[in-house]
Parts: sequence; structure tokens; C-alpha cells
Amino acid sequence: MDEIGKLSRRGFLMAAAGAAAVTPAMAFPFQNLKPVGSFQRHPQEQPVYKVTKKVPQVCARACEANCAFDIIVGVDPKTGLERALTIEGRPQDPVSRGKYCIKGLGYVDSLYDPERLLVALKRTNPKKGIDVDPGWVTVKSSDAVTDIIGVMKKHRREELLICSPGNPYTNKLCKSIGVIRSDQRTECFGTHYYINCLTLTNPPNPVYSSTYTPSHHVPGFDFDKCKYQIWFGYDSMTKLGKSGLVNHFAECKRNKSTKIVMFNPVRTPFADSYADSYYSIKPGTDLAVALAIVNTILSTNKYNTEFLKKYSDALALVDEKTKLAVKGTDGSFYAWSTTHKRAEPIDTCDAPALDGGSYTFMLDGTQITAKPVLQLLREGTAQFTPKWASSISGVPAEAIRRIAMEFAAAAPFAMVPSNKRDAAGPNYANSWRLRHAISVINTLAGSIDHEGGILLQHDVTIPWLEDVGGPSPSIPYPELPSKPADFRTEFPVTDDIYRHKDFSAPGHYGMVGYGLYKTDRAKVILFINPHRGLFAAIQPQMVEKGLESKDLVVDWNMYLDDIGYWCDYVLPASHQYEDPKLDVRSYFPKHACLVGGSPVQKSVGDVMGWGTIAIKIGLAMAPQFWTTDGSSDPKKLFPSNMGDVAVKNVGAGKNVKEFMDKGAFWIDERPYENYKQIRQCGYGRPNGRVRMFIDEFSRVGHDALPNWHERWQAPNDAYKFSMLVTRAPWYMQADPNFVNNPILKHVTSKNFMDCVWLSPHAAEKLGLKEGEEILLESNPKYMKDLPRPVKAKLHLSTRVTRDDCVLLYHGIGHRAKNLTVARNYGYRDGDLVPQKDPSISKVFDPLGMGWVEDVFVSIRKA
Amino acid sequence: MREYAILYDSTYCTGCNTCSYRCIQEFRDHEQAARGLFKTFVQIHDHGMYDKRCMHCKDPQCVGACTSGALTKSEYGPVLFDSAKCTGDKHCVSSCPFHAIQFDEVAKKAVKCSMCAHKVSEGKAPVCIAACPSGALQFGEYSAMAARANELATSGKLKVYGLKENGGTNVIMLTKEDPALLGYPTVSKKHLRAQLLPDAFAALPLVAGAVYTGLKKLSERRSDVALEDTDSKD
Repeated sequence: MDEIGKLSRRGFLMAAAGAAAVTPAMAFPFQNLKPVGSFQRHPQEQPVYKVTKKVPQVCARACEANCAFDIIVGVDPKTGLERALTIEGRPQDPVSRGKYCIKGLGYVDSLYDPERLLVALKRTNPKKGIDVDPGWVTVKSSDAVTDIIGVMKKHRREELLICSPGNPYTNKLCKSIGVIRSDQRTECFGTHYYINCLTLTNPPNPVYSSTYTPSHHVPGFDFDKCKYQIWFGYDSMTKLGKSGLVNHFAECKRNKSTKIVMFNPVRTPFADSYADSYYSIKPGTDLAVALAIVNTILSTNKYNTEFLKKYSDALALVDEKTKLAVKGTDGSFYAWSTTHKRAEPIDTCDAPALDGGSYTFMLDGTQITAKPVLQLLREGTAQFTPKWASSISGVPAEAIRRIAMEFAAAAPFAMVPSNKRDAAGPNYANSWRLRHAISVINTLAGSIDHEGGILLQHDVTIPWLEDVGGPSPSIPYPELPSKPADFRTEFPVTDDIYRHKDFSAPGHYGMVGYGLYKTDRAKVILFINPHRGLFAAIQPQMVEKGLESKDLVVDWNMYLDDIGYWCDYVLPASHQYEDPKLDVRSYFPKHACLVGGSPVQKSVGDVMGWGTIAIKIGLAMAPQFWTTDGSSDPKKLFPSNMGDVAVKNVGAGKNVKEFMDKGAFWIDERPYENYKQIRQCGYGRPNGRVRMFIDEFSRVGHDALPNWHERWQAPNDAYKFSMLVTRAPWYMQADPNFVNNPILKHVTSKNFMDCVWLSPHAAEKLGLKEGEEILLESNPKYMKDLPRPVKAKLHLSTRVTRDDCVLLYHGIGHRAKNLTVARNYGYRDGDLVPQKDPSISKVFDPLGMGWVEDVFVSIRKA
Repeated sequence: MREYAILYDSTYCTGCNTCSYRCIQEFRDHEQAARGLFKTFVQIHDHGMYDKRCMHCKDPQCVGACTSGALTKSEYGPVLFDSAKCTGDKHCVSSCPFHAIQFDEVAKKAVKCSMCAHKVSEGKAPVCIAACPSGALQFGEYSAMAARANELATSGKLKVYGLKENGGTNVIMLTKEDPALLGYPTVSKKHLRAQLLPDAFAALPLVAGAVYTGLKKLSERRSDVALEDTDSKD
């Protein structure tokens, strides 16, 4: 044993030492560690591609943020060829701050979409329809344009319709040839712009035109400094992907600097993570809550008195008989002097009355009895208590009261932001009232044109074409048609703005389909798309039917989209990254700022830019407005260097080329001067004011101050599901640049955004299960012509918080055979939304907008 | 060498998938993404976000399971994948407790995130981090990310996933709700190997015991031999 002990002790110790050394090396965490010690040895540590250049660009088509970034161009490792590869942020851009979104990235790849249209197409089969072979032949774009001009010349200008956003060339073309321009984005943009015009900007003014406000919205929002926000559906699914906004929301969350209250029948990821309070609300009733907020602020006198007196029409006297604001011969408002006991011009009135009345006085020989606007607002909203609003909306009364008080306490660093797809958009017949109420709430807070609130663009603008060169004003433009296909003349409030104040203002696309189907007013229609087509139209089946019999239909588009199947010509359009850009950052205009973008590549194929086409048509049909000598000689064109003028005016460079060479960026970082911009662009300039009382509405028999109104459609037992519409965060409307992208298709499907969403409880009551095919139908009481039920797959989600709602995703449901990815994917929500009979429309809405969600549908198993 | 980690705070994530698409563009993975294969992907669930990606385990089973040596664990965090070595045996796919590795049936190769090793080598963050508009994705030294995760979890009453799962990973997730509700696989906080075998150091006495027994037997045999020799001399 001693021997063993001696031997084994020594041997044991050696063996144990050896075991002790080996065992840990076999154990966690060292097993499988094969040190890749220094970099540059493993293939995954090698750069994937070589960068050859970075091209500045500004995204102008994916959303209202218009983020500025650089396109990375390099050598594609798969092909060895140089191409645009991806994006890198530009941190100096005050909107995006170095961020970009999945849509911007998708646009990079769409430059090379194999289904991009590169040649002009001409139909040889006169029969039109999605299932009919058009018999396309390819023609040169320039020859196609010559043919188109020939047909246009054979028609009266009343018979021509151009469906296009209000860009500089469309504006000029339509004015010069005396043709109506209808903006296909009206459903999305119109309500906000018009309410902004009627309350804030009083066009024409030194700064704004609809052309250069990316969503036609006008103001921007200072999320960074805001302390309290109320969102009426502002947290749509679409905004989840808007990096230009999200980066600001996230900073506020990180700094805990703002409280956000959200109202939405859909519980979005924003509500989960960014809301301090979230309330499920009955759709179309946000107006009730907004009115109750006005009521609470007024009844507790928690409004911003100084702002109301100095910068708004709160003091302005309104004639009780005419329901119009009392104005002097110079257009200035009048207020009641409590000391002098008489009506005096508002800017010099001594101790003006904010409330009280009626006040009786003589003005220009007429006896007038009047009250101040604020008094009328107080009286008009007296009945809209939080308790009343709660009974309509389902939001607890105490919550409404508390929110109103908190909002007022945070003012002027408090605001209600709103944009196109939220409840104050064109979604309901009463949406214009909600948008008006929102403007009033912001006015009562004094947050308009104030840091932490609603920001107004200042000290930088991009001129119109006419500002840099044009005919003498003594040569009048032709009169516009009196009976346009979009029935805009039925809506004098907006028509007046369009004809006399801002020609780029949105049109009435909610009635274009009705006009094309029911009348022969338009016989030649040009769609300047390039990516919306039929999907921008509600009830597109009516547009389709209407187009079947027209003399000429043309689409300028990046793709042969659905609408192409009703066209006589389809012209290839440029990609937005092939266009130069200049942008004023109007979504976040804290500082005067310009960003520029350069084309990544020359437009491919036989693309003609829309400006080039517009000039050709203009020279052929109305040369006196396009050339210095009135001839058709393109060498004599008026100057069109709007960018050069814009850049030079702010000292950012002698011209655009120099501006781009210097980095394509300019900013004036002077602190924002509160309430300065209102003076420049408001009502009653030079001491401009914002308005709450819109007497243009009085003139057409509508309420000049916000008032409650029910939705246009009402549910019944059969049609009881309120249709909500949103969009996947990575899609821009129905743009094939995204919907025809196979990768984004997977992203959509994996997130069930190619389905119709219903709450599990609602589905259970209907006997429906996840993944089943369902059929949705519109109430024939409202969809009288050409109903087209929608078949879709069902997804059950608790994010639809109410059993009386169904959520649809916009932008899918293409039928064009050539869009191999987009074709037959999903469903088309627009098929369920009726085009509007203008005689009905104007009863509910003096703006004549689209009401895309004012629909109740039935749901059953397909 | 520094060790890095990704921290994903889902309470900032909006599910936009900009990270996902930026990754595809960086690695030119369009063809496989068009087949539905994503190295990183965010799914919007009813209760929150599920960011599905390689967790870059500290002791990854996939590395051990790989028969071709295509997968290796680096000292600085990522589990690297050499596509040229991959023979498509799919052992990595079935061994991954997070079900994060996908297989491309057309290319016959595994598909997983590399934590942008080519960027980290330049001192830059992975492209998904730079692309994230809300800052939900963060990147830094492991100790800092782990500390931040714990701090945010405490202050925000959040759940932490990936810090201890499978013995620890270099990707840490923060969620409001139970990660399992969002689709994250339930993975033991102990490494699989540690679950099956005793702790290495706990095995030492056993090893020592075995060695002692063997030597004792040897010694007894020597004694027996010596005795036999003595007997034979007599």
C-alpha cells in the first residue's frame, strides 16, 4: 500500500493534474471555440461590394417626410457591373437625421425591376378591359406624344382632363391650354390642404403652394419639443415605416419629453410602445371627442388668451344675420372695443372683447349685430360635453376631460398633429369638421407657429414656373371649363381656391370616376401617374367602365399597371431616383433648409420626362404662354430655372450646380421665431392671423365653426362592419415599385397584411376561422352602380379592438398580367368605396373629398 | 479582443423591417429573400414584436453539429458561416435551439446572420443597427449591452431574452410581454450540454476516482507479479 501510496500518490497527482488540465478544456465555454483571432481571415469579414460613389437624393414619392439620403453606387458582386446598391443616411437632414426607410430601400431595387416599362405602348385592339389583349405595339415616345397632341387638338378644351398632382409643369400646361387638372391624390390629401388654406395660409402667400408641400398638408410638427400630443388615428400602420417621423418619436420617448394620447379603433405598435394612453374609439366619432376638448378648454377658460387676441380671429366680429365676418373695405376684421363701446379695426381695437355680445353698431351705413368668434365658438360647443362625447365615441368622459386639461396645461407646447390617412383625412364625410376642430384646438393652445407645436415654413421657397419666366400678365390664361368631369364647380369653397388662389391645390378625384361614368364631359384623359393609377380612385370599377368609351386615354407610368388596360397609349416614366430634386423640408420646417438630389443614372429606355412632354404639348397647343416670342420654337422657351432662383435667393449658391457641388445641403439654424410666420401668410396680412371662423362655409350653407355631424353611412343588421383602411408600412399606396417586389411580398404575407383583419370575437360570432376566404360587400343603398364584392383571406387579430370594425390593407389587388409579383396578390379595398354623387356629396362636405372609410360592409364566408 | 453584442429593445420597434431589407441589400441576398429567406425579420404579433435572427450563442450547438467546419464561433461575438465549406447537411438547422438557421433548398446552403463581421472589422456597427430608425437595435461591447439590458429591464419592467438562454448569447432581446407569446422559442437558460452532463469541474472527482482505481489496479498487479517472481525463484 505504501508502494501504491507512494506510486499512486505521485502517479495519481500527475494523472489528476493531467485530467484537471484536460477536462475544463472539453467543457463550457471553451469547446468549439476556434479563435478567429484577427480580422480579415474569414470570408465574412471581407467587404461584400466595392463602393464607387455616393449620390445625394431626396425621396419625394414614398411619404410626406421626404427624407434626404445618399444612394450608394458600387460594383455588384454578382454581375461585376456598377449599379445603385443601397442607401446611407444624411445625418445633417433635420427631418430624417441620418435615417431612411424600407420604402426608400425598395426604390433602389425597383430601378432594376425587370417589369419596368421602358418603351411606349400603343393599343391596336380598340376593346378595353383587364382581360382583353390590348394588342400592344411599341412606338417611340416622341411619336406617341405627337399622336396624342393630334387627338387633343381635335377636341375642345372642356373635353380634356389631366389627372395629375399639381407639379409646376402640369400647373402651367393646364392653365395655358385651359384644362382642368384633377389630382388623383385627393382622397389622401385634399381635406388637410383646404382646411389649412382656410385657416392658416390664405393663398397665394409668399411661402406656400400645394405643389411643394409633399402631402399638401402645409405645416410641419415639432415633435422634439412638444410636451403633449393628441393623435386622432395619426398612429396608422402606414406610419410605422416612416423613418422621417419615427426617429423623432423615438427621441421623444427616450427623453421622456412628451406625453402622447392616441385614439384609434386599431391598436397599432405605436399604441403599444409610444402611447402614454390609448383609447379604442368608435370609428368616425373622433369629431365628438375633439369637440368635447374644445368645450372643456373653453368652459374652464384654459385657452391661450394672448395668442387668441394677437394672432387669431377670436376677437373678430361675426354678423349674426349674414353669418359672415365683419370686414372693412380693406378686408380687415373688426373687433368690439369694450372701452369705446364700438366696433374698431381688429389690430388697433382698444380693449377688444373676446366674448359677450350681441354688439350692435353701424358700419358703412348698415346696422350690424355681431358677436366675437370666440363667443360663437363657446356657444356652439356648449352642448358637446365630455359626457355627450363619451356616449357617442365610447371614450370615457373623465378621460376626455383630463386629456383636455392636460393639453391646455402643456400649451403652447401641445398639439394635435394630423395627416392624410388619419381620421381627419378624407376618410369620413365629417372628417373636414374634425380637421377644422383640430385646427381650433391648436389655435386655442396657441401652438400654431410655435416651437413644440405646429411649425410653419419660412424664409425659403421654391418659385413657380411663372415666377422665373412667363408671358406678360396682360395675356390672360383661358377660362377654365365650367363643367369639369370631376364636378369641382359644385364645390365653390375649394374651386375658388383652385381657380383664384392656388392652382396646384388638390382636385376632386372622389368624383372623377362618377364624372367619367355618368357623363361625357371628358373625352380625352391623361393620367400622369406614375404609380397610382386605378388604385388612387375609389370605386375603380366605375373609372374602368367610364374609360371604356373615351376617345383617348393615356397613362405616363413606370409600369404597365392595371389602368394601362384601358389606355390607348402608355408612356414610360422616369424613376424618382433618376430625377434631380430640390426640397424645402416642409414636414419639419424648424429651420429654413434646402436639400438637393442628383440623378443616380440617366433614365433608361425611351423615357420622356413629364416636363418634356408638357412642354411639347404646350408648344403645340398654346405657344404664346411658353415662348418669349409666342412661337412654337423650343429654343425660345421661357426660362424654367426654378431651382437656381430658389438656391440663389437664400444664398445657398449661385445656382443649383454650385449648390450640389457644395454638398447639396443648406440650412439657416437661427432659432425658430414664434408667431412670425403667421403674420406673413395668415389672414388680414400684413398682420396675418389664423382663422377659426370660416365664413366660406357659411356661404354654402355649412357650419363656419366645427359642429357635430353623423357619418354619411349608417350600419344595419346586414352591413354592420365599419371599414377601416390602412396600408402596410413598406408599401406606398399601390405603387408597383413596392407591390411588384417579391421580397416585400414575403414581408407582407408574413405579417398577414395581404389579409382582411377581424377581431377574434367578431369572427367567432360569424363562425369564421383564421385563414378562411371571406366575401365583403358594400351596402347597395350607397353603392348603387357597379358593385364589386371583395374576396379576401381572413386574419384574426386582437389589434382590431372593436367587434364592429374590419381592417383592410390598401395597395394590393393588382390585376395587370404583366406585373408577375403583384398580380392577383391580395384584394382591392377601393372596390368597396362608392364614388360620390356630387349632389349628395355637397350636402355633407363643402370640400367635396373622397370619404374612403365611410363605408359599412357585410362579411360572410366566401 | 473585445466581445460585441446586439441589443434589441422591442419597445422602440415599429416592425417596419428596414433592418431586414438593409441586410438583404448589404449581402445581395435578393434571390434567397425572394424565396422568403431572411437573415433577420421582424414579425408584428398581437402582443409585440418577434425579431427572428441568429442569436450568436456563446457556445453554439450549430458549430458542434456542423460536420464541414463551415460554422465557427469568433472571439468577438458572431458565429461566422463560410458558405463555401457548407455541404448542406442541415445539422445546424436542427441543432439550433432558437430555430434561427434557415436552409436554402435551391442553393443547398444554410442561411444566417453574420453580425456584419465585415463592418465590425471596420469598427462600424452592423448595417441593421445603423438602419433602424427608432434605435430599437443597438450595438456595442457585450458587457455594456448586457448592463444596459438589465437596466432597461428593471426600469421598464421588461423581459430579457438571450442573456441566459442556451447559456448566453451575443444577441439580447427586451420585450414587454412574455417572449414565448411573441413567438420566441422557449430555450433553457442552461446550455444543452450542461443539462446532459455534469458540470466539468464536478466531473473532476469522478475522473480522479477513475484514475486512482486504475493505478491501484496497476499497483496490485505489479505486486502480484513481484510475488509470482519471488515464488518462482524459490
